[in-house]
Amino acid sequence: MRRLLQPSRPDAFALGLLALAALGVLVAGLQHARLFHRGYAEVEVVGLLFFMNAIGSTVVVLALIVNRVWVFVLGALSICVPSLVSIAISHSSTGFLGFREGGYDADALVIVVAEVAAVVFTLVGAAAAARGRSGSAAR
Amino acid sequence: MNPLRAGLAVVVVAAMGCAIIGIGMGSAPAEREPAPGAAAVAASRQRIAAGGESVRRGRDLFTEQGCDRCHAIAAIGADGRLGPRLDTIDDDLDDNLESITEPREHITDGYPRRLMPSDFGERLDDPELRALAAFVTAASGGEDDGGHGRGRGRGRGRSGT
Repeated sequence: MRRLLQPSRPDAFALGLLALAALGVLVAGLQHARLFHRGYAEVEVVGLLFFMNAIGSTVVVLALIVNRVWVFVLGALSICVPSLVSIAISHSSTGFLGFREGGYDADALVIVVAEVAAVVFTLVGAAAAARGRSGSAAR
Repeated sequence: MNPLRAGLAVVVVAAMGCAIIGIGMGSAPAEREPAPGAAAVAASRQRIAAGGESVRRGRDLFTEQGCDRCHAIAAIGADGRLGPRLDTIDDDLDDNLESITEPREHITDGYPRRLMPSDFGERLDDPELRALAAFVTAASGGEDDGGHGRGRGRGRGRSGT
């Protein structure tokens, strides 16, 4: 846990990938905030989750800015993966917490694309950062 | 922290802070629709109470199917804002039925085209669909013409989401 919270300095390649992931997290968080104010606030539980997504996205991106790379990695995955799963469930006939959507409009697509990109870049960036760390430890 | 990172942090906090508070984020299209007055709400309650078994079943379905998450009907405390208010429309039963089964045929300006599920025609049987439409008609004060139609066009485009 202490190692997780310690600042770490990945190489430029890993940092570039994680920065792209952070951009995806930010775009998705911004879009969740926008939709919250455009009517989702009144949707029970789902509205609150949109609001928390926006706050959480801000916090994890700040973690990357202050060099807490592994906090960012865990945070980004903890926000984006459940969010993508929730979107998929809400578009199914089951619905997410009783809330169903009929199709993917531009607003939903922005979130899906941003979060998928964030997950991919986070995983690849984390792998690159981990390899760089084990490489420097071996030397 | 170096100045570049400090600057980035300030930009992120400022942009996301504004978004979270709601500055520049706009508002739900439904907020531009005036809510009915107290007298209209009382009249709506009366019509629902007097509506019989079909309207009562429709009211239950309205909640069970999650319609209240997106649509507002003041008489029953539904306050959804993703779709148009349903207690200020003047559509008849057939129009409301069509808006439920084919929600993308007529979309009110400003509302998303694909948000409302279009599978209610498969999820609900015919009496349930008519009960739901009867409830919306009673809540709004739209004319129930017994299914004979009343001329398409008036008040259309209410499905929204």
